[in-house]
Amino acid sequence: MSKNNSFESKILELEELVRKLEEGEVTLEESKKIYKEGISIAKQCNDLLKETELEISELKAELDDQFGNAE
Amino acid sequence: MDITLTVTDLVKYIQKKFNQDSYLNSVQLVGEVSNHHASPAGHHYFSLKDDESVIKCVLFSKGSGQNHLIDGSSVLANGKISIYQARGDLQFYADSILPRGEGTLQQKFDKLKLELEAQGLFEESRKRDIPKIPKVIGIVTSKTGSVLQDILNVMKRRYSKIKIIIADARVQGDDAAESISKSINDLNKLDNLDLIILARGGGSLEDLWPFNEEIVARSIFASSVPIISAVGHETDFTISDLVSDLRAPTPSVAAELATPDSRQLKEFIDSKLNELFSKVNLKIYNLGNQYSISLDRLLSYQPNTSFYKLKIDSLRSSLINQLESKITNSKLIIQSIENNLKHLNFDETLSRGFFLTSKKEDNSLVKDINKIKKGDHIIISNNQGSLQAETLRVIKNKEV
Repeated sequence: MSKNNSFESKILELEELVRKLEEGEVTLEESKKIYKEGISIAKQCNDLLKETELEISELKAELDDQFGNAE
Repeated sequence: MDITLTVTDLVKYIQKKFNQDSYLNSVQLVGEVSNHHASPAGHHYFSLKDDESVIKCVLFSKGSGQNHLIDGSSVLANGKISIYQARGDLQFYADSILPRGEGTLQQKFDKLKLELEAQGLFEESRKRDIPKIPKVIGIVTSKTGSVLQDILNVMKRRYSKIKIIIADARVQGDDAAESISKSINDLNKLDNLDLIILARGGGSLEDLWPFNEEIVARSIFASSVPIISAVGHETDFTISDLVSDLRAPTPSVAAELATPDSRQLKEFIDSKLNELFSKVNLKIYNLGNQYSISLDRLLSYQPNTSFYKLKIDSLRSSLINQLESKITNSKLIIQSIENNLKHLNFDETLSRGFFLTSKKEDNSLVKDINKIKKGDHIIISNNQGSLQAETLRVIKNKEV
């Protein structure tokens, strides 16, 4: 599986895992493994999202500060 | 001298005086054409001038050489001097115009313009964009002129954070073209320059002439940074204007074109930032949606253990059933064995009145009547006790 760290590629990975589960031809052991991996990727996605949102709002606040006080 | 005259009387008198003067009735006049315009009736009105004087002229539609009437060109006009009665104006009435050879400024201008145009110096495609926010601007103009102050004032008002390098140049006179050219070249030796403004205030064609010289045009063409040309007034066009990347109608406008308005700039940046943030937020929102959808789908495929639980339960209960039936079977078997065993228990047989007989000598059970003979000592016993006896007689059944 691709080790690309972008959010988009993680979503693709997640989709791929869901597709495998959808096909249903997996043993309990395999489906547990896939599900576990999916949850782990989903967590990473969530972390990335939260991190990005936070950074953006910090940047915005920083700029609002600077522009608000300029001249 | 107390004669009272009407205006018409006076004008007519002066007109008569002029008409009587044979010199003024046939004049060859040399001068440079300016302010030329033709009336719808085909008459041509213009002025002839030299360095110090100017005279109004007319060439009526029947006159010859009308095509030589080009502003700036030097001509030889034949005609007479008279007064235009309706206005009382002194006028030269030309009846023929002849060109007066090469060398007039306008002709030089036209010639150089054609040459440079052919060499591609005016190509629109080579004109560069003026930087939106220049940091360092060079100004080529006279250090002492009011033009410089105009430019500096405008720049200061609009965008104070700019560095200005003034390259002093003589903008009028014989060596002005060389001076302007050198200043442009010198500014180009700086490596952090963003833009050059070439400026001069209004003046006559002669005054502005240095900006029509080839050496200046070449320097502008060779400049590595864009040049805004602002020479004279809005109506003045010079070769410098044509070669430059941008022509400004006046030096003040050049200053405006060269500098961003800091207030507008701030608004622009603000709006761009807002645009940026809303786009980024939209992107995050969309990715978040995509993520939620994928996550929901994943969660819907959470491994289903209840199915396996049911299966295990049913397996377990069938296992128990199997065991139980096994146990029941075993019990039944044991029961039947017990029953069988019961039949074999001789106590019970004995209690029904049967006795066992054994030989006394070896205590062996007598199963065959032939083993007993008369006189044998036997022991006859049941579960209650035993009898010792001596065989008196052996009576056999027939078939034994």
